[in-house]
Amino acid sequence: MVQIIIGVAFFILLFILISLEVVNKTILAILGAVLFISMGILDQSEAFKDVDWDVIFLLIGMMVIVGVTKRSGLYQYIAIKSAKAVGGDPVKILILFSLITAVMSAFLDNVTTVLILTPVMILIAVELGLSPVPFIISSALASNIGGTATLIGDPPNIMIGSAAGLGFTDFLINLGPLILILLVIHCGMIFLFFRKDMNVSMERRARIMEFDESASLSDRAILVKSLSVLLLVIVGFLLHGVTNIEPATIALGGAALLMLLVGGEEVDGYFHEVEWETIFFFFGLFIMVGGLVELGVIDKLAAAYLKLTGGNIEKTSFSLIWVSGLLSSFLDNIPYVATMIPLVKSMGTEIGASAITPIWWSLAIGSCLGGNGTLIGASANVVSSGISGRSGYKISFLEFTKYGFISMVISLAVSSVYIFVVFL
Amino acid sequence: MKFGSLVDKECIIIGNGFKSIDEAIDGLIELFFRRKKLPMNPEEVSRIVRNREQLGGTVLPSGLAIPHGRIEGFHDLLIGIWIPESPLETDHGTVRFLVFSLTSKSGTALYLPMLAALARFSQNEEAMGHFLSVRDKHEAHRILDDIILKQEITVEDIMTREPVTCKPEATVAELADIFYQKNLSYLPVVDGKGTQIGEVTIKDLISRGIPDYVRRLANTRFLKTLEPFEALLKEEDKIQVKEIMRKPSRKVTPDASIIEAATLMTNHGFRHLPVLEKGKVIGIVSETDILKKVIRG
Repeated sequence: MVQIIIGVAFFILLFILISLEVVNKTILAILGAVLFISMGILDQSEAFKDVDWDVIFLLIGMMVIVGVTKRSGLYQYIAIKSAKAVGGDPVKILILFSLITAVMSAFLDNVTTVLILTPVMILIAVELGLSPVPFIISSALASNIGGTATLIGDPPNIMIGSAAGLGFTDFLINLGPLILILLVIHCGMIFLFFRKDMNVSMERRARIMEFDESASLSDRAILVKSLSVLLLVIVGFLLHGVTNIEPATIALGGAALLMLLVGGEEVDGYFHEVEWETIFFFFGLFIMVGGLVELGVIDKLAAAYLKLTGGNIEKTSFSLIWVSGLLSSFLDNIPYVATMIPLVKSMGTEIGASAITPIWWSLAIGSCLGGNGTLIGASANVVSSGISGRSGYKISFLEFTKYGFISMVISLAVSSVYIFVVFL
Repeated sequence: MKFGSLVDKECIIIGNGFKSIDEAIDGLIELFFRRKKLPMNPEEVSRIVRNREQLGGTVLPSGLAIPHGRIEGFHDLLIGIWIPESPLETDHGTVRFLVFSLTSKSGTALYLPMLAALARFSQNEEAMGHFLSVRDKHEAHRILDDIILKQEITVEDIMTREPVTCKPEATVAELADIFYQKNLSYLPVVDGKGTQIGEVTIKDLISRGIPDYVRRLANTRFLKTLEPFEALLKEEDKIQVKEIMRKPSRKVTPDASIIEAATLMTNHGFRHLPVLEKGKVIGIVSETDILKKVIRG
């Protein structure tokens, strides 16, 4: 009993510290894991088995592939090309950039997407003589929406996919339509929010047309190779039903193939693209959550949750969308989902593994879209507003949250209806 | 080691009416050949020394001239000294005191410590004044015994003393002027007490002229129209150095070896290192110092 209390207390404390980001979260997660093992909550070999290697290797593989495609200049090219395609019309650019961010986020990590696109958006807004803030807020929101659509779009999906045995196509078929609906609503919303701020002279618009986007494709060889491999990897994900090759294997294979094709530098350079900090955060987290499971805390929580909803699958599903959304809007959604996964699994043992599929979707939708709720809800929000601030355009917590919270509530409401219609 | 021990008393010339450094060198070469067998003839030695003279940099601001030659197949350090009656004006500066040396191709172990010790000695006005007033080679030789060679030369021996620094409150406009006028690219930023609190390079200045979002673009080749430095030039009188300076990233101590300074430079791409003693900047050693005072010393 004492062990349970101490274990849970440590977990909650670390969870809070991780969300507050006072101390580096990777260090905290690793310390937490070491503590759990040292306390004898779980022994080392059990602890290491709790690491979900599907997640780890899928992340590493994709990080290498995306890191290399980034060097091609393609993403910047697309952004500038599209701004020119609409003749520098700011409202159209605003909407187009949101859509580009959403699509890119579905296939790339959200943070990577905003890291690439935010500077281009600021540049274009500044050249148009506009504040970049609407562009940045719209894109950050869009990136969290777009990221929800696929297995690889957002880390919670990778974890849920691995735990629930849901593949790339499952995500695309089940969540894709919802995300399309949400994106349409998103575009309508930002149009209403920001339309009045989008007055631009023709002279300014002409400046955008001066950009020579083709010059941004700096290395065509890398462009062709990296895009081919990315495409191959996505086809590999789609063919999972036929080949039975798991996403992590496909991603690692793609990474190795790409390194082989591009060559030219030490392999070391490609592995610098891997965010080892994130990877080790996952290691620590998996072990800590494994400890909680070992302590029996998760089973008790699952039972308590089911008791509250009376074991009713609709109530459980609905409530989980909103609980996940609200919690993820101010907590880090990765540790949240890591904790919820064994909890949902435990529910599955009570009410049947196949019956809980809607609950998995609720968890994925809630935790990904919840990121839009506040400025600190998702890393993409923090990173893009950070870049904006450093360029002289500060986005305050309240300013972001004002739009983000409305967006989150609307999208969670639409998702609830969608879940009900499609899955229940 | 005493410098005097390296110098043959007979190779000290006081006065003698040489009209130029070249004449003095030839006079000393003649002395050398009278006393020692060298692997080549005097004309060749003279040619080697003159070639080195043409590279410049052998007359120090303190009035010490250090012409020298590196001789193939010669494994010794031969030193000759000339004290002119009155300071000699040359194209490279005023010469009050000349130390001519011949050493092996790669320089003997004592060669650089000797140059360092002499440079230090020549900066000591009192000792120099006394030495230059001497009219007897025995007395001169006795003074040379007071010059002590360190076995290894250190950063202190090749650094620029009392370097230009700047205050955190200086404006970027002032900083740009210092860089431009003094032909510098690196400045330590010090507080009122001379303690180093930051560093700033021309790159930091340029970097301030590029907006953060432009710096973050994957590449900027598509940007033909953006006017760089527009905002910087507009505000250069308002922006203070402390806004663009970085935390000190490097330092050496005065007693650090040359190899330590050199590896710091090559491993980190630093071109300058501040020399710190008790947190205060007492000098700067640059890659040029290593080239001029060690490799071509």
